[in-house]
Amino acid sequence: MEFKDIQNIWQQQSGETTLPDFEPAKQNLRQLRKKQQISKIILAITGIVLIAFFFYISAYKYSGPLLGMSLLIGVVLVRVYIEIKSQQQLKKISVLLSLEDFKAQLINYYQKRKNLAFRTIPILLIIYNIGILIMMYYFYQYLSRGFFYYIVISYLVSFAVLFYFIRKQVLNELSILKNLQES
Amino acid sequence: MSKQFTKIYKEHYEKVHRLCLGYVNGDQALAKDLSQDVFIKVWEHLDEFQHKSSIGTWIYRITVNVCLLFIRKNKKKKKVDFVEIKEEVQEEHDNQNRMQQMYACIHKLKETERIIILLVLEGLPQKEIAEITGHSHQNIRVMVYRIKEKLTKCVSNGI
Repeated sequence: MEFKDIQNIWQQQSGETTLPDFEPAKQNLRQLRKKQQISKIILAITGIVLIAFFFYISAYKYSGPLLGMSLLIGVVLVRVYIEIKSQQQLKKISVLLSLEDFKAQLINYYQKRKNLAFRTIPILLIIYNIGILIMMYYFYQYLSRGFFYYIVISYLVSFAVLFYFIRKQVLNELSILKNLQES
Repeated sequence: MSKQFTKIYKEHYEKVHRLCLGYVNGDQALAKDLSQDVFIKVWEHLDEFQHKSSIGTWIYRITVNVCLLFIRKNKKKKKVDFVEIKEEVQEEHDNQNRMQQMYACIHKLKETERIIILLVLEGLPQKEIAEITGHSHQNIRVMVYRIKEKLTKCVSNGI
């Protein structure tokens, strides 16, 4: 078989494709944009409420729990910020570029994600665990043993689950990067 | 813009869908999603079209980029066992099986090779492919020759 034959077969594919209605896609896009706006508003309100609550309970008067809570909340906020920024960076890559330029930008994006995964995220996880250890010290002092162990076990389980998902995501992104670099 | 878009959508949907179908190993549902993603981008960027190339080339440029972007969303691509297909082809030589064999062979290529050969199969001139991919015309000529050989060998002999 020659390439011309392959091309003929390809081009002879019948026009069975029915043209789907594009209106639902447009509506989905509008809804998605609305949801993105709502998410941003919710995140902003959550941040404001957290700060207000912090002052309301005068948490700044107790330096130990304050440090622990600040580390925990700080890490979560930084993580959310990094993810939002990262999503925005990906969306900024223009589909109007040539394939090679587009691919170069995608590779650059995934290189940054790789750096995040192997440098920033481990540091954040260490800080988060330091925060947890500080809080555990206070939980141990002020809470009943039963409740304390409940918190410890819940934390260990949730951390293991979180670690599993982070690992899965990182491996997926590394494989995408490898794929892009090889192509 | 709406009327202009509708016209573009009607005129170009089939070839976009066919290219997407080739990219996702003949998976109709994925190809439909991918084609929809392409036309959402077309719809979003239509006012940025500067008439420097034909609208067809411009749409193909969006299509190949959306295809490349698609790998991040869908790592679990449908894997077709080539040996099984080969056996099927030996049993019944109908067009559908031949198409499936072609999809499997295209799928074995690297991402960029896959995109380039799909454009070649669609009958686009090499100059236009160079414009879409950002490679030099000379480069494309060499690449196309190499990928054509690979694909022909695969479809003919199953390797």
